[in-house]
Amino acid sequence: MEKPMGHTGEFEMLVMLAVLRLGSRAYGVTVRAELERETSRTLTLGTVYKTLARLEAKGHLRSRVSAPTAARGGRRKKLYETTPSGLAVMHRSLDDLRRLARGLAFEVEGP
Amino acid sequence: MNSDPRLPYLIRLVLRLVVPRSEREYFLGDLEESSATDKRDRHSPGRRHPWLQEVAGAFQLLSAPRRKIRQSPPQTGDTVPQQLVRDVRFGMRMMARSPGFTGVALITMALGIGANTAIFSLVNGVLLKPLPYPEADRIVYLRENNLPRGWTSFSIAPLNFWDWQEQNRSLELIAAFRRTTVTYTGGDRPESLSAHLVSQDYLKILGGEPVQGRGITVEDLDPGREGVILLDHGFWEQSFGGDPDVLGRRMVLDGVPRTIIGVLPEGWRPLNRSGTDVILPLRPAPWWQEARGSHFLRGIARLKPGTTVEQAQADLSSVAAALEAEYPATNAGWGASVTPLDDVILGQARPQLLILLASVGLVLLIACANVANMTLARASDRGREIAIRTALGAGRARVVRQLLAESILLSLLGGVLGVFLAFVSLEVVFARWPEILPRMQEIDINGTVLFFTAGVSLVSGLLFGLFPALSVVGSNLAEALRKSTWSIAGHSSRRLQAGLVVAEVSLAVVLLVGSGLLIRSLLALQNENPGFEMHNRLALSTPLPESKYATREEALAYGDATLERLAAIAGVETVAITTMIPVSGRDEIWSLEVEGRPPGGPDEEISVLLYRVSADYFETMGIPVRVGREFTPNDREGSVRVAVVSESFARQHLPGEDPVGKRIRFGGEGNPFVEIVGVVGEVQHYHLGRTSMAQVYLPFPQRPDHDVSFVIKASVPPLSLVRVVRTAIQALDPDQPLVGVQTMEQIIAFDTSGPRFRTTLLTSFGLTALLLAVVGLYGVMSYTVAQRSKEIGVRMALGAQQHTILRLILRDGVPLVVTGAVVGLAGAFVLTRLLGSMLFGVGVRDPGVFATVPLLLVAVATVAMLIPARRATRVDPVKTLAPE
Repeated sequence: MEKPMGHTGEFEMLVMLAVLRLGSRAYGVTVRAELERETSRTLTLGTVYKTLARLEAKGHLRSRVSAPTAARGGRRKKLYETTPSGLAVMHRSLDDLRRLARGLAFEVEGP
Repeated sequence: MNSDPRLPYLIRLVLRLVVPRSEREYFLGDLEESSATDKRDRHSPGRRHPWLQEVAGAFQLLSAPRRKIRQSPPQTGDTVPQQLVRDVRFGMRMMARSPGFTGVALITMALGIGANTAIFSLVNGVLLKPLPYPEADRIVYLRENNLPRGWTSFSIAPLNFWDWQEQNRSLELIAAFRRTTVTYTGGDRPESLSAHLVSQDYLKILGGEPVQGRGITVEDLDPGREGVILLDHGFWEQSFGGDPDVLGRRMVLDGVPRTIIGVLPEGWRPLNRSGTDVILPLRPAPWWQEARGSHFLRGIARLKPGTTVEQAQADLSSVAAALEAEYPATNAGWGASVTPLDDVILGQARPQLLILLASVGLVLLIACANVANMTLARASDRGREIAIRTALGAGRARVVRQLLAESILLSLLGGVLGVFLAFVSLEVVFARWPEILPRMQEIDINGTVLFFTAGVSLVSGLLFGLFPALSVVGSNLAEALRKSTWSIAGHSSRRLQAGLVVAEVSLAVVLLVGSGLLIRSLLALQNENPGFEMHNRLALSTPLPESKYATREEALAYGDATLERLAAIAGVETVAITTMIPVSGRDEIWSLEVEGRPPGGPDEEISVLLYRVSADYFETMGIPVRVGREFTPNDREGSVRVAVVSESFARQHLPGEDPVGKRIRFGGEGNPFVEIVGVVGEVQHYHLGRTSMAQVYLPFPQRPDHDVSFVIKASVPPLSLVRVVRTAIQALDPDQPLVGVQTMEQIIAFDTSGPRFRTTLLTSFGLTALLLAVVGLYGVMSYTVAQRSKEIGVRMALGAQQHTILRLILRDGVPLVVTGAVVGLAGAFVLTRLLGSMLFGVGVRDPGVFATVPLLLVAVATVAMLIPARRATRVDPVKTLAPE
């Protein structure tokens, strides 16, 4: 398997998981809403956009442009989906997490 | 982008600045969509000022990656051509923004590229295009030579030619020809036409198949048959309006009617620069059968397939050697020479054009160095722009590409201007020097030339764009962003600028030394004494047709009568007949022997230029009589046969003796001796500045001839006499045209036109080079002064004197000039050797030139340095030291 470039950070992992969950509806607003709902943080669109752009540049996500809608002032959306390399990276990172967390799980205190 | 009333104006403005164009639409759409949702159902405390937070968050996008990291198309949807278009558009905007820089750079490139285009079109037309004859590489030029006597190229004697024709084994076709002028009567007034007399295979060798009628056959060479004429296409159109029924018509040439048998193809030319009007069969005169010692034919031949020039040379040499053995009296020392046609046609033009091409190449290099320097200075002023572009994610390659696109755009525009410039300058050359080069009519700015120009422009653009671009991206951008001046010129680019100036100065020195040598050579040539007076002298020829003036007596009668009429014209001081006009190209060489010293063999024969002139010739031409007397009207048929010889004749052949009273004889046994009565000054017969054979003069009345020319010493501007002279001559013989009517000044000017052409061109290149180098120097000095203005301000505030500041600035420039001059002189020392064959009266390492050029350079360079340096001394310390 080819080695993906760069390190995949925690927030990037969260964004990719959000995109994966959203399926064909993943774009700036929905990704932010998903992340805010599931992680209880407040995010700006800029943060989300920057991460999406970085993941696309790394080849973990790809984008397409939707038709314009009236609710957006006639503007189009940029819809994201996971690429095979993105999936592979996610699998690997999750595997790593699971492996490392094994046996530690009961000692870690939740917040 | 749609304006959206729901997003506050200020916010939209800020977002527009920070959100990259590629994301802007989606970002604004998302923002609007989520703000609508927020208003409906979310009022969380974190969202109290959603706009402000969103705008702050959007600033992160400034550093968002704008391109895929691993894949090459940098921006979604942008193809390489689209990027190119964007680069070019941006380049155009940058050029429009600084019209001063753009203008100077464009003019510089246009000069450099234009000069190269012009010279290359000469090179292309003259040297590169194949000769306009079929399989021209198989065509050779034939000549005789007499190496023991030092004559490397000589005309061919008819009997020798015929023997070559029969005995050679290497030639497929061989032809003899002569050039002459014939008088055409039957038009409005008698006209002198240029004619080629050719043997039957001449047209076949040169591919001149008539488009109408037929060519010349063996039968046409028979003197017993009716004369025939082939018309040149241009002459046919001019004189017959392109009449298709011209075949079979008659033309009277030299008083003899001949039938037109054909018209030559359009654009076809025989072997000479100015073309011809008619082609006639070369008909042998009866006396040619004895003429193994009279050389007057030229020859061309087509080699058999697969035969080399060397093989043909060996073949003809063995034929000539056999003839030498068989006819020692006439052929001793005579050999054959075979030369490729293009060597003969191009001759000196090849080295000359190549030197000119190399010179304009240097000019272009200087131009490139100059524009590179300007770009460099400007690029460092554009530091801010470039730093921001880099900060925003433009890679170094991207920045280099943008800068290169700009410089190539500049050089291509310069190329377009250059083609225009080349076109104009070629027009000037054609108008001023219509026959300065062989094959002038084939010179044009065609596809090949434009291709060359495009290539040169592209390479120049790369050349002057690459250094600045690389030096910009190589410099420390982060520092540039911190510094207030936004300048990113580092030490390396300063060194580069200095190096470029040194290179420019040294190249300019090379060119200036070259042009200096040519100028001195031309001056020497113009100061060269031709041996006669040029001022107020008119020369003209009236070659007499033998059909009309059958005997020498008739020619003499014509001459006497014409002299009388011409002498009566007001404004004519003196007038004389001569069979040759010096420097006009015609010669007549005879062998002679001094009485009592018969030559031991053919090697010891004395050859001289034989002039036949009437009384007053020396007075009219201003040739000084050194010893004895000149001819008088009494030196006529029946009186004692006399001769006048030139100083060099007396020196070479009668050393230490009194020439007056000695007797000489032309034509050997059975001919009368003539007595030398005077010695006159030497005349430069062939070309100014070229040593010529000794001259012997005979009185025209004692040896009349059909080649009658007149020289007139006028007391009024000579050309004002032409009309009256023509009237006077045609009153005697209405069918007699005047040929070659020129002042002696014009004849000399034509003779020196080659050197003048070279000198003018090379000097204009040299001066252009100087100008460009000085502009480059000025630019660098101005830049230095601008950069050091703060330092200068401090120094002046601390009490530095003006001259201290001047010295400070000059210290930056002087080493550049001196280094450039030294390198340039060294280069010139090596390179001027190439000019050797073009110089007259000056050595290739003339100390005068080598000393003058650096002086000139230092003088001009000092001015270029002083202007910015003086500006430095006027720096107002208060201003430069005030905080920005």
